[in-house]
Amino acid sequence: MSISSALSSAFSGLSAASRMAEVTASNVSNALTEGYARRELQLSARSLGKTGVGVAVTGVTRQIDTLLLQDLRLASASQGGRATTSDFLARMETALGTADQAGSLSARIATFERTVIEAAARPEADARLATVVDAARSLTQSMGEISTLIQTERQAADTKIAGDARLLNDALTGVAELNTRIRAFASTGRDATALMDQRQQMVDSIAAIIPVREIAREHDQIALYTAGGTSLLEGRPVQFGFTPTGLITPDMSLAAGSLSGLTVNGQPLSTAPAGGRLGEGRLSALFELRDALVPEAQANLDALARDLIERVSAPAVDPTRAPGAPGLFTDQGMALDPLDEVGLAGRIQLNVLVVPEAGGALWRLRDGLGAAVAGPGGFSERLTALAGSLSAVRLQASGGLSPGARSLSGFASEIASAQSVRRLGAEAGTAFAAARSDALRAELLRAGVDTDEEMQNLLLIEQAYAANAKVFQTADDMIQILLGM
Amino acid sequence: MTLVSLGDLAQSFLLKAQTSRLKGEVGRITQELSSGRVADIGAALSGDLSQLTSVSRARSVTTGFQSGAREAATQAAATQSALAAIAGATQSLVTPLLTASQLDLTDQIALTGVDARSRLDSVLATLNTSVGGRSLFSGQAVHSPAVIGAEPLMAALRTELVGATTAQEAMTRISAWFDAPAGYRAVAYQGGVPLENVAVSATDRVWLGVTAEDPALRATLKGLTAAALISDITSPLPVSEGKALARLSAEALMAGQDALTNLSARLGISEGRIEAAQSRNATDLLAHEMAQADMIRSDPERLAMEMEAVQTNLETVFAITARLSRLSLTDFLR
Repeated sequence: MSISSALSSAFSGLSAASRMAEVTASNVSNALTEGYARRELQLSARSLGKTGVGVAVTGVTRQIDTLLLQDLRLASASQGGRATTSDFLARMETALGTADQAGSLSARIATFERTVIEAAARPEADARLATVVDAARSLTQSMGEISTLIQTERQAADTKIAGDARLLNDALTGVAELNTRIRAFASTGRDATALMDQRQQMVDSIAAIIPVREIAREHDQIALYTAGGTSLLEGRPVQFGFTPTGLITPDMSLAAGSLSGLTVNGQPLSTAPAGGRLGEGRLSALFELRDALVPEAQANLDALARDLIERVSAPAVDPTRAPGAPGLFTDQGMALDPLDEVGLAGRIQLNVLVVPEAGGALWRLRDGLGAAVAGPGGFSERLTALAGSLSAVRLQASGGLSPGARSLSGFASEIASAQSVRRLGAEAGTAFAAARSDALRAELLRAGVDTDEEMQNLLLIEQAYAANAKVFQTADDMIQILLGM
Repeated sequence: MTLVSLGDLAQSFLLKAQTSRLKGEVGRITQELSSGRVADIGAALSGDLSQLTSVSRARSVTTGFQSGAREAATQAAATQSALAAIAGATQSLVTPLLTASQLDLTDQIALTGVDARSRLDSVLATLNTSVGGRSLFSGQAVHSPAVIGAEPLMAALRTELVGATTAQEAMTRISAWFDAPAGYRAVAYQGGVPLENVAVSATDRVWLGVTAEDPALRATLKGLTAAALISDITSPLPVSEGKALARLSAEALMAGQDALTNLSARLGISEGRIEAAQSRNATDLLAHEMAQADMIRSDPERLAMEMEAVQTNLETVFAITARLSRLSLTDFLR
C-alpha cells in the first residue's frame, strides 16, 4: 500500500461522506413531502488489483415498499368509490327526511291527511278548504324538489365522469412521458429518483379514480392495468372517451343510448355492474350512481306520485268528474298516463280547478271537480272519501320495492326506509374501506423519512468525514516528511 | 439498512387522524345533547323508519280528528240545548191548553192561543239558531235558516184549512200538511238533507243529522201551530171549535214531547260517543308522542358518559402530541 493510494482512499471517503450528507439533507428537507420515498446511498468497497482503494458510490435507491403501495392504491380507490356512493345516499336520505321533521315528505303527507280530515268536519269553511289546497300543493312541491335534487345528482355525476376521464387521459400521458424520461436518465447514468417520485404521485392520482395495478418492466419502466385487467399503459397509454350530456332528463339512459358510455381507444368498455371491468373505484361508482342508483330513486318517487294520483282519481272518490278527466292531482294538468311514468314526481301538480289563484274554486274540493255549481256547505261526502282514499291500503302498480299493499304514508315510509337501509350499508362499507386505507397509509408513511434516524446518520457522516480528513492529513504529513529528508 | 424506523409523517398522520375522529365525536355528542334528538335517526332505527312514520302520521291525523270531535261536541251540545229550549217552550203550554179545553171559558181559550202564537215565534227562532256560522237544524245547507217565519207558516196553514168545519178535520189537515212532501217540507223547511255522520276518531263516526224536518220536531210544530190557530182571527175555522182544537193540540204537543225526548236521547248517545272519542284521542296523542320521543330522543346520561370518555381521549392525544414534538434528536444535538 502506497501513500498515494491512502490519499486516494481518504479522498473517496471524503466524497462519499459528502454525498451521504447530500442525500441526508435531501431526506430531511423532504421529511414532510407526501409521496417522497426516502433515498439511500449505495456504497461498496472499491478495489484495484489485489488491494482496496477506498469506497465507491454505486447509486441512490428509493426506499419504497411496492407491495404496500399497491395495496394502498387499491384500498384508496375502493374507499373513494364507496364514499361517492354513500355520500349520495346520505344526501338522498336527508332530502326525503324523517317523519318527525316538519318539512319531510312523510310529514307533508300526514299534514295533507290531517287537513282533509279537518275540512271534512267543517266542509263549509273556506279556510279549511284553503288549508287542504296549501297542504296538497306543499306535497307536490316537495316531490318536485326531491325529483330536481335527484336529477341534479345525476347531472353532477355525468359531469364528474367527464372530468375524471380527462384527468385519466392526462395522467396516463404524463406517466408515459415520465417513463421515457426515466429511461433516458438511466441510460446516461443520471439520478432519476425525483422523476420516479413524480411518476408515483401521478399513478396515485390515477388510483384515486380507478383501482390500478403497477407492473415493473425493464429499465425502471412501469405498465399499468386496472384491477379488472384492462390495460391502461403498456408502452403507450390508452385513450378514454366520454361525451358529457348537457341536460339530463329522467327518461334518458345509457341503455337507450341517450347517455354516453365509456370507451377505451374507441372500444366501448362496460361500466356495469359496479366494480366489473373498471374495478371498484370512483369512476365506476359515478357510473353506478348515474345509471342505477339515481334512476332507482327516481322510479320509487315516481311510483309514489303515481300512487297519489291514482288514489285520488278513483271514480268512487269523485263521481262528478268525467271519465278520463284529470283528478285532484295531475301530470302537469293532464290525467295520468301509465306508460309515461318516468319523471312523474317532477311533473305532479295540484288540479287548478281547486286553486282560487289559478281561476279555480275551493268549493270543488267539497262538491267534486265536475260539479257545475257549489252545493250545500255541509256536504262532506267527497272530503271523507278523499281522506279514506289516502289512508286506504292498496297495491302499488310500480316502483322498485317488493310488491305489497300499503297506504300512501306507508309507501312513502317504505321508500325512505329502503333508502336509509341502503345508506347505512354503504356507510359501513365506506368506514371499513377508510379504516383499511388509513392503516395502509400509516404503514407506508412509517417507512418514510425519520428525522431522528437521519440525524443519527448525520453524526456518523460527520465522524467519518473527520476520520477521512485525519487520514488525508496524516498521509500529507508523511509525504512532507519524505520530501523534507 | 433494514433498521426499524418510524417516518415523521406516520406519527403526525396517526395523531391527526385520531384528533379529527375525536373532534367529530365531540361534534355529534354536542349536537345530540343540545337538540335532544339523535343525530342519525336512520342509524338509531336500523333504517326501519316505518314505525316512526306511522306514529308521526297517527299524531297528525289524530290532531285532525280531535279538532273534528271538538267541533262535533260543540254542535251536539248546542243542538241539545236548542231541543231542550223547544221542549220547555212547548211543555208549559200543555197544561193551560188542557185546562182551557175543560173549563169552557172563551177568553181563557183565546189567551192560551195567543200564548201559543208567541211560543211558536220563539220555537221557530230556536230552530234557526246558528252556532259558529253553522245553522243547527238546516242539515247540509249550513248557511241558510232552517225554517220560514211564523207568519208565512200560519198563512200557509190558513190556506190549507179553508173549508174545514170541525177541529178534528182541521187537526187532520194540519197533520197531513206537515207530513206531505209538498207541505211543510216544500213550503216551510229551508234546509237541506241531514248532515252525514262526522268522523271524530279514526274508527268513530257519529250521527249529528238533526234537522227541522225531523218527525219529532214536526210533531211538536203540529201541536204548536194548531194551538196558535185558536186565537187566530183570520182562521177559517169556526170559533166554537176552539175548545176542541185546544184539546187536540194539547194531545199533539204531548205526542211531540215524547218524540222530542227520543230525539234528544239519540243525540245524547252521539254526545257520549264524541266524549269517549275525545278522551281516547287525547290518550292516543300522548302515547304517540311518547312513542316518537322514545324512538328519536337522545340519552343524556349515556351522552354525558361518552363525552367524558372522548374528552379524556382527546386530552391524552394532545398530551402525547406535545410530548412527542419535544422528543426529537435534533433538539439534543447542540
